[in-house]
Amino acid sequence: MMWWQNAVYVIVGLCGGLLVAGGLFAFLALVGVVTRLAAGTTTAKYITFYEDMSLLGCVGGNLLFLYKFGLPLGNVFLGMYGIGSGVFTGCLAAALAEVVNMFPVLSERVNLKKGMTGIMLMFAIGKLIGSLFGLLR
Amino acid sequence: MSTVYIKPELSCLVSHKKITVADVCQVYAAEEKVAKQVRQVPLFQISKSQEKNKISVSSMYVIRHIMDDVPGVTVINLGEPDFLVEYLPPGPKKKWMDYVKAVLVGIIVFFGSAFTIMTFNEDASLPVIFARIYESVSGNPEGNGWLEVSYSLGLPLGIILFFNHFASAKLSNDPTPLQIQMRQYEQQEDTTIIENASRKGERLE
Repeated sequence: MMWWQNAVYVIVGLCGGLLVAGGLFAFLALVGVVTRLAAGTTTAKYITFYEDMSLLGCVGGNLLFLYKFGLPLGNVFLGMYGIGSGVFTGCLAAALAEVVNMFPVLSERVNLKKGMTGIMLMFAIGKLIGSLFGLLR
Repeated sequence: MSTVYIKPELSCLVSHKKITVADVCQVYAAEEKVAKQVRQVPLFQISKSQEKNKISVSSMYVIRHIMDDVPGVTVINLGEPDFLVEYLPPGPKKKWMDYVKAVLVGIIVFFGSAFTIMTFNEDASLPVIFARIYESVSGNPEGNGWLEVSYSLGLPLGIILFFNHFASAKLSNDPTPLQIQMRQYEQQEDTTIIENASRKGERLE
């Protein structure tokens, strides 16, 4: 093993991680999932705490993915992971649809004035059915 | 004849129900006597049903009341044309409720981020890419783990650079991207409430 090989690994790994994290979090910030959650619970003053938690989550998830270490924390942990990631992904999907102006454009096209809450509800139910359908085949 | 300058902010918090001019805007006049008189002009009373809502007020409403109560002044508005008044009951707030909510959102954000990075790594076939780089550099797809370690170090570095802080250790004094976004979101929320209220004719004109 030559020293320059390891140097290449370090440069590629560091820069790759840096840019992936930057890109991923720029995307999350743009879509505004965390701000939406903070606004919904009127806890805007804890926004820096949420940023710290998302950093820790990102690092933890990445380590778990790469090293597949044992995590014998039981069903409580699984439940927390499931609910946490589910709510987050749901918010992400809804926020993404909102950022690209899907609902305003759609309602403008079909000249829809009322029933926006109904559409949002159907959006959520559709996601639920789709998710169950995909996971419980 | 004297000129009075008023400057309402987009949204203001009050903890009592009798709203005067001083509660909703800054007031300046060349003569302190006139300014004092203007500050005490009563505007409206928050009713029981309005306690939970943000009340939308037009600056015309404020100007009209000032001119009615303090004759002979010219009012110049240097702030928002329309603004919101939010009532927050006095007394100790339920602090623990805030903590519970913050912890819950913290859990969602923590596991959500963990999930997002894992799905990203899977989507981008990270192990395959790593094996490809190992093979190019050393001729053997079985790596020595250096890529994984540096990637795992690069991730938090990138996030700290992006968020501009970790815990209380700040890189610089600029606001973080999420704080900026939060501010923008609140402003949009306020202007939407104002516009909705004017459409429904609920604004105090």
